[in-house]
Amino acid sequence: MFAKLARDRFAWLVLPAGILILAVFAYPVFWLLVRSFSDPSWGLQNYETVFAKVIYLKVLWNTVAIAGATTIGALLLGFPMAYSMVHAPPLMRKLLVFVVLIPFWTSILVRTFAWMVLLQPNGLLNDMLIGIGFIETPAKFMFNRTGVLIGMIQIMLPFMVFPLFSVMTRIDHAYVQAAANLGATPVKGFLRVYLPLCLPGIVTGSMLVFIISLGYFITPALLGGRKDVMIAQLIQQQISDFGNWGLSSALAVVLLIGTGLIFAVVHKVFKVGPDARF
Amino acid sequence: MAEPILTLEAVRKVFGKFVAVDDVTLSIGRGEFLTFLGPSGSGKTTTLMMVAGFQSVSGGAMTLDGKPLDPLPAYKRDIGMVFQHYALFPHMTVAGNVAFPLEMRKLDKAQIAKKVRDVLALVGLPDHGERYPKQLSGGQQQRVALARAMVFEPRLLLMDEPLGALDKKLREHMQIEIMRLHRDMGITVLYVTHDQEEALVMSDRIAVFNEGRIEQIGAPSDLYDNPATRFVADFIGESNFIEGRVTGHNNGFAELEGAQTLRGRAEGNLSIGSAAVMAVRPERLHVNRANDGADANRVEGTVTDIVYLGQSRKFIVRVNDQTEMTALVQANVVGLESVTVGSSVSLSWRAEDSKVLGNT
Repeated sequence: MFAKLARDRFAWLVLPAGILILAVFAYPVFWLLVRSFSDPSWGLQNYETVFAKVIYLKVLWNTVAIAGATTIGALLLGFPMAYSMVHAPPLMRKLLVFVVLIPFWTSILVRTFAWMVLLQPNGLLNDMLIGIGFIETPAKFMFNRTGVLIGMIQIMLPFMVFPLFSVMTRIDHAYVQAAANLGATPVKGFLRVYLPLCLPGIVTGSMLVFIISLGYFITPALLGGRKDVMIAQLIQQQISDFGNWGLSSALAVVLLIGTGLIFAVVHKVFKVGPDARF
Repeated sequence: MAEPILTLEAVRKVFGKFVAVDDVTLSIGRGEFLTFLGPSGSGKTTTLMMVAGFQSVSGGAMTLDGKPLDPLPAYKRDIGMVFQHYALFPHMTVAGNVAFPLEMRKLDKAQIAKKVRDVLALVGLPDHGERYPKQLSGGQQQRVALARAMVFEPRLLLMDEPLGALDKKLREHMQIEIMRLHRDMGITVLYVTHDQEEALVMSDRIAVFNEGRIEQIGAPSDLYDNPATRFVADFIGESNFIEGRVTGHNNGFAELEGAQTLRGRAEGNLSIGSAAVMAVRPERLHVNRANDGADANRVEGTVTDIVYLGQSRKFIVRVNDQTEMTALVQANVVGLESVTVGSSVSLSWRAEDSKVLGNT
């Protein structure tokens, strides 16, 4: 690969970005790796702590569970959304794309605080539900898993919608017609033809949402309770409260390797990328 | 014609204010090969889509096997279709694609396997079942599409410009192959194309579409020798047109007066004094030396081009300021060696070889 790059006379164009990545990503990550084995003394003690103490395992599990639930939620909401966008008339399509994009341009902190306003015990949502007589006392939408998921699914939605949208736009309507012509009911045609053709978009969107969610920090910190602490919060706490660089580094390395493994497995199973079947 | 299997009665399709299909009435006999021929936007594909059930009809009625077709959704119509770009499911193997309609009809596994094997052998791809569509050539994909559309023995097979994506040689080869399958299997075929040559080669009958209407429907030789309108004479094959005014009409012949008086066959609906046009095929014209030629119709002109085509030559002759005529002369015709560009010649033809049509 390097030999090929060297032969390419445009190869030097990757230099600025390459240097930036080396300086602000590869170098710190390398030091994190070293520190996880060397702080406070050389050895595996930091990893032993991560995998031996129930609290750390619990946080690791929380992280995977919240990221997984966010991914499923974003897929369930994003799929119909992307489908409507693809099949809407041009003007409506532009409007819908805009609606999905707006939250992108707003800070996550602002959006999370906005959710707090909406979800608090005497907030908009509770007032409305009590008003229509659906519930009598305010429901607890905050400082628990529900709050974290509501916030995170909303923030993650664009990452799911756009990969789906781009794959769905490229699906020729003739495939759906062909399925019907060959005798498939709308449900069968969807399950056997449309859904499998959307698979590359589902995989890409789910991977994006899951991996970004794994490292999430602000939303679980503000909308979650004590049982919803995620790994990024733990890393922040270990450094700023206890100055425990060694343990934090070990946690970060576990997160990085875990993410890499998931990526590799999905890549292998779904054959996305250059050797895709279709 | 055999008993009709599909009938269309005054079928219409309107998109907003645009009338895509207007008052289309026709019927197809069992085992017939009927082609919808017309330029793009003439309504032929829209009509096909209504038969398939992908477009609703705005008016009129359709029946299949004597039963109304309109209330049936596409998936209950039992009509096979070969799509323009084949629409083979890319995530299924060739065998998976062909098995799909059988699985939808809940046949048992052994039966499906046998039918898939048989139909793939029939289209000449017995060993390609495990490949994916992407791994096949255009011609092979075309065969798989055909196999998939036939395997469930549909009552009617629709084909929407199925050969448009293939190169000329392969297209001609597939034309013959589709005709063979049609003959051997006895399937009724409704074929859509904008290629008049393809339509002439393959069809039992052709319906010529123009601006949402059927201009004429008939056997290929019928349309070629006896076009009903100027559009048909122009769209199918090549025609020379000479404009004029009708001055006489009797015994199936009309007289047309323009630069000179000409005589040609005509239908009864031409009224004397109306504007008309004479259509005559290039191969019906005789090229003679100036002021010579024994046929009923004769015009004088100057050769502007001679195009050599191997088995024939084309003489382009300017007969007056507005009109250029093309004569096609077979290579074995002798006596024209002295005719070159700039020569004065006369073109002549028999009254029976030309047709006078209303000029619309």
